[in-house]
Amino acid sequence: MFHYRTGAFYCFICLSDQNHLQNRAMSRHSKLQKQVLALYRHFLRAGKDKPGFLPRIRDEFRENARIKKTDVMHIEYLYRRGQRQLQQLRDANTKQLGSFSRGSEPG
Amino acid sequence: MATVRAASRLLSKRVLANMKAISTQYPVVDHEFDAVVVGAGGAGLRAAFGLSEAGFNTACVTKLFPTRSHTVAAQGGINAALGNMEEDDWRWHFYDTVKGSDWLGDQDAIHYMTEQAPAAVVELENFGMPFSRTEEGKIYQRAFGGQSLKYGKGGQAHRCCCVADRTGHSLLHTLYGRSLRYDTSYFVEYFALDLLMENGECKGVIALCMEDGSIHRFRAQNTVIATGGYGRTYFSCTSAHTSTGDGNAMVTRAGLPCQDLEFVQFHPTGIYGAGCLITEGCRGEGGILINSEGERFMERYAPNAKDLASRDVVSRSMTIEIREGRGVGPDKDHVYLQLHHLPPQQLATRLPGISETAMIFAGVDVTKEPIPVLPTVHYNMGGIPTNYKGQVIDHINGKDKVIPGLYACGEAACASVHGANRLGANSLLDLVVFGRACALTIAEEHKPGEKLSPLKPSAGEESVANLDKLRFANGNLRTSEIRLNMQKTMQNHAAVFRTGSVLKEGCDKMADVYQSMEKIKTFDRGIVWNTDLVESLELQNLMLNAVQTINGAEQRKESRGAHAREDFKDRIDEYDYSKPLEGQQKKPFEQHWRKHTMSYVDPKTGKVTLRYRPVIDSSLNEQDCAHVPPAIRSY
Repeated sequence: MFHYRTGAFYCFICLSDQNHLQNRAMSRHSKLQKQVLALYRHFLRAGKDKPGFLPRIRDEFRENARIKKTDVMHIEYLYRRGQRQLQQLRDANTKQLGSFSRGSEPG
Repeated sequence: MATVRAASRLLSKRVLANMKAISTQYPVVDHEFDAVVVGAGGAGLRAAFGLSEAGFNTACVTKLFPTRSHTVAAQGGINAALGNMEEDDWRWHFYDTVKGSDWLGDQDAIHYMTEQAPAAVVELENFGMPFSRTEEGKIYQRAFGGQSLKYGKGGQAHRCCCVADRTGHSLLHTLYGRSLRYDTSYFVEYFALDLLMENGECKGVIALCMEDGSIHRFRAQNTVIATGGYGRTYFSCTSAHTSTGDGNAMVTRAGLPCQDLEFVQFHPTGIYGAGCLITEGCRGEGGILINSEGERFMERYAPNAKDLASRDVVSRSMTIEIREGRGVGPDKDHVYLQLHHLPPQQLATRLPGISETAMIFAGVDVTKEPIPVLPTVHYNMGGIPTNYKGQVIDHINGKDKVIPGLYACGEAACASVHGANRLGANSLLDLVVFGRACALTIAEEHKPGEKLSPLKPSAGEESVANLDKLRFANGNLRTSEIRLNMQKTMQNHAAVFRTGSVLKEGCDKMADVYQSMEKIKTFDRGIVWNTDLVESLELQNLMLNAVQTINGAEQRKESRGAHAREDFKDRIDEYDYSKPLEGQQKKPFEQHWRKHTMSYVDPKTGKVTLRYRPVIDSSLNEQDCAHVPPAIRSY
């Protein structure tokens, strides 16, 4: 009934900046945008050697890129949560990411 | 999936993709440790930092921040035969505990606990626990229920070491502070769902991170369960809302038994109405219980110990007084605890916490008026069966079998040191001694850095499926309604005095309430901080505990300790100990009740199976400390 797969899906934080993608003229990031980008870089580096994390990291950041840049409370909440999750990812005892999915797809 | 496909014609692709992504994917993070401890109360913290101290890579998974565990609410104290107030011996403490348990306690575990007690208290004092002191600067010990000198013949013993009336608070904060010195990894606000069992061996725990909704599997060679009791199965209890018996339920779902769950302690002095606890220490400092006639009624029921008799004796006496019409208040349904005859200075130094509690919850100034009190559910003597080393056992073909990789300590475990009734101030002792014992046993049997045995990649699938089912539950009964039904049923049918017909009716009603869980309805469909989901999971755990409690009580046709039957008023042992033993035939195992109940539940149907296991009657070292043969229990 539930299928286990390694890889993909780590439902956590994220944020990104639409501005960077849309306005080439206004290419300076705000402080918060820089922090988020730095966090993304740290995540990618930390998740490189552990199976299953990278696809999810990318999906989550892309998903939360939709948040308007004026919604600072939401962005900061996700940023703080992301920092905690990054600490956990860096920990030597965290090994891999998998997923359980409900559905009729074959295992 | 068919409904999703049909909907795709109406909804845009992106919305559809989002819907599918939200509802069906559960990310699972795998962690590997040497040991994982579930629960961060007194026992959990002691086990966790004991393991870290021994060099094990330890994780502590807890649904509450450590200092919010229910240990913080303990008031009374810790018993230890330090001998600061008068000459004392741990063997007298051993005798008191065996007698208090109504000879259902395993004497080897009791021997272990009472012998380790002075060392445990000194260790706590060295950690910085701010005990109350005597004039000479030694640890102050107060009188507590059921404690005597010289094997019951020397009068009241003063052996309860305390910190005013907030010992549990100090203990937990001291242990938490100490634990920060070690490198235990804390996973706070992670709700443990189930054990990962394979081939009868425990290989770890699967938990839900409440903060972001991800699932975590903690693989470890050794798992220690220290999740506390399940007071919340009753309508009125002194326990926190978080006392939901999660550990007991996890073990039950793994197909393992729970032991002696029918023994539920009713603490004599819970505030009438609110249910908040007024410690036994009040009676230890000189407080007395009085009825509507102003009489100190305990003198009639326990001529020697009076108000400091064992808790089950006092609770029963109070209930009888109320039943015979000598209760106080407009409904004559409770009694009074009088403290105003004590010097106000003593109340202020030794009992500051309850002075405030009584003012806030009962509106009473303890220096002037008595406090209205009623027996309230307080502690669960039963739990996960373990041996004296803390290893979880099952009873198969007449022998105890150790379950590899699984340990338990604290209120969640049943070692069994408390047997049919717990003496006050023995629980905090139980926490630290057996928390340390689990750590020592693991250190003895295993080494840090041992390779983990392989685990199926889909381990924990059923737990996630259950979580998913509850998250999208769409029946017609709310979680709170089902919980209230369960609590009222337990309160009305399995209270201080129990009768066969009432218990049988209760068992049938509980079976119906259990079935009604199929119709549960939850409202929050999200995965982040879904308290509706967590409460429903807790309710599932409570249900498993409740059915075992009431079925065990219905089957046990005798009165022993906290389990008092109106239709079977006597204890039924292998011999009749009220008469001389010569000439008596020993009853076979099936015909007497001096045995532990082992209960199993089929989680799908709620059907309870009961088996029995003999009590361990020999101590660890008969030369050092002879076992106590059963006798009639009177105070």
